[in-house]
Amino acid sequence: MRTRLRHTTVFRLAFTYAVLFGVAVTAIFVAVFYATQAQLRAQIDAGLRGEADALALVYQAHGLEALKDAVSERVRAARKLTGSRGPEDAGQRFYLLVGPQGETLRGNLAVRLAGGAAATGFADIRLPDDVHVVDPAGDPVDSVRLHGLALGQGYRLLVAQALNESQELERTLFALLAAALAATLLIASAGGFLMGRGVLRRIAAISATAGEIMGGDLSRRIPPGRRNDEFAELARRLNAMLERIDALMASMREVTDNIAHDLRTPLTRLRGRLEVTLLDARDSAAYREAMAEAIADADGLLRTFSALLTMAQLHAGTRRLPEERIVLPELCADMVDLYGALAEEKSIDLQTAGSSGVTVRGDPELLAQALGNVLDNALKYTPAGGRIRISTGLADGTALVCVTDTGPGIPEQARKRVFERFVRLDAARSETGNGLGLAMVKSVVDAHGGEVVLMDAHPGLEVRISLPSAPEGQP
Amino acid sequence: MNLLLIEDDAETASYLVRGFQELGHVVDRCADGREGLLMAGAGQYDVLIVDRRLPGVDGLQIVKTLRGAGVATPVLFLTTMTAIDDRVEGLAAGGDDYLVKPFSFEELAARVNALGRRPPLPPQETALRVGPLEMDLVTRTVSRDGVKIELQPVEFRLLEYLLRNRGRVVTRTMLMERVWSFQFEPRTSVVETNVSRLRAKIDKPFDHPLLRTVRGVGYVIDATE
Repeated sequence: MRTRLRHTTVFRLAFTYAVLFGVAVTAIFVAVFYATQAQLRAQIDAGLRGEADALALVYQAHGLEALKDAVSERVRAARKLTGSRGPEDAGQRFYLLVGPQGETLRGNLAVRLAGGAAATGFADIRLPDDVHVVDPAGDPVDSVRLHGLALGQGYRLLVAQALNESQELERTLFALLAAALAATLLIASAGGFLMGRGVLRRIAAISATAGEIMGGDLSRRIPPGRRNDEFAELARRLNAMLERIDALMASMREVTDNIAHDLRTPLTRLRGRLEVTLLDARDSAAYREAMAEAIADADGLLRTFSALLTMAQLHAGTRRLPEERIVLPELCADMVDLYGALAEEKSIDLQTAGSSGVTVRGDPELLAQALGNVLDNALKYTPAGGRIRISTGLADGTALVCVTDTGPGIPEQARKRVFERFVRLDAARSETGNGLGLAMVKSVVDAHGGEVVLMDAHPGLEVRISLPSAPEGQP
Repeated sequence: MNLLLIEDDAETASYLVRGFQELGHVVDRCADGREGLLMAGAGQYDVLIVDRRLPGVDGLQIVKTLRGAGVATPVLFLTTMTAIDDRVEGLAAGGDDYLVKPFSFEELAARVNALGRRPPLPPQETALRVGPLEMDLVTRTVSRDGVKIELQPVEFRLLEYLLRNRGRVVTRTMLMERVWSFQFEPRTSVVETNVSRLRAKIDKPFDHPLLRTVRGVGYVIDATE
């Protein structure tokens, strides 16, 4: 299941960044290029102006003939420097002295070129193809920078400089910058590609593990990688999630097994009872009795189902709890009212005690049921002549209900386990009940934001339920 | 009694109709909320048995509409949901009783009986009686054949409820709800124990029992042999 690099987020990001980076680098390069070029031109212009001004000074100081000589001298020097013997102009600098009628008095710039540049000031001139000019290195010159200066009485002096050198410098600079840009783009792309591939490899590892887990191997975990980075953190989180799911699945399996056991037994009993009735029953009274027992069996099954449903709703939080005010001592008194007769029948002393004003908010039905379940257990396990106390109180803003009995208690190591669904300490499950009593108590108390713990009452068991208190004064 | 059953599940409806007919009631049944509303508004029924979830008009809406139109026929809601909100909602809408599916038919029949023949007792009634047993609601004393019987407060309340429903079967759940105001089902035989203690006081010392157990259903108090 290899994702193609071209289609990945990482590739897109790397590509985008390479392009953006390239654009930025290009902009910088362009700025550098033009700044350098402008600097070169400014230097050339300053040189030309200086030369023209120097010649103008000669003219003003010594007159036209002196100027003619000076120009000739400079042209000769340029020719000598280049070693040129041809008819063409040669040199780095070129000179032309023009008379009032536009006639060439002295100089080495072609007449046509001079005629084309009648104006004074600076200009870039591209030399016509039939004008052959070479620079001191002997390379042909194809464009010059020209400076014209009016000397007065119609005389004009033109000084030009070949742009070869500057153009070459510009070309070199351009080539350098282009190469640097290409290298930048290459490095950015390659870096992006490599980083992307690294990230993809980590994601592929996670994806592969997920695939194996989906394939049924729940024990698989994502390798955290060597570095302690975001991916390692992600892997740790996902692994923790997988642990949790695994644990939930395990407890789910346990519940399913227990449900299967708990429902299969009464269902088998029900089926057997009906079958035997079909075979044996002689009269309608026998049928009637069998039917009544069958209905009792079915009721037991339904009770188990409805308890499971309520707990599932409480656990999932899908059941909205009412926010009724419940006065715990009153609730306990009502409980004693209901359970008193049974306790007396079993010679158990059932009493309630506690301060008034211990109130909580919640669902009175559910809390009554939870308390009922605790009392059911206490009455079931407390021997005749024993004692059951229900006490209420307040401690640090917490409302407490404690049910203490003088029964056999629950061994310390089993106290957590009894709150699980379908857990019964008498493994044979011979006692009546569906094994959901204390699990229901815990579900109800949890849903109310409280806590239930089992403690040793020396002797006997103390079931301590703590709930967030809702004092009388509050609305 | 004339009963109207508004229930969309055909199988449930047919077994309920058969059951009520066995008991000698006349049952009309319809499966649709709108139709049910029309029938309930037009017919003379003693009790309406209404499913909460119905096609057409919702069960809750039917009862609200009927109550709005001044129809005071007692209503018993049936529902598949166990959420307590639902029961509160149902009773607030004008329902008189509430039963969660799946329920036993006896439970339903007992509750329908209690609703339908709710005796027009004047609230200022001062004495309840069945055969030789007499309860004085003012002095809060009970006597049988002129012999005074001492009862605990809880026993007194239990007997009072039974006497108010004399001749009719009341279920354990009804006793839990009406005598102790609890909605849950205890896992020990607390209701049975309370009833047997009451029986020990009002029946044991005398020649024939008044308080009978109806197996798998509940209890009934009457003077017949």
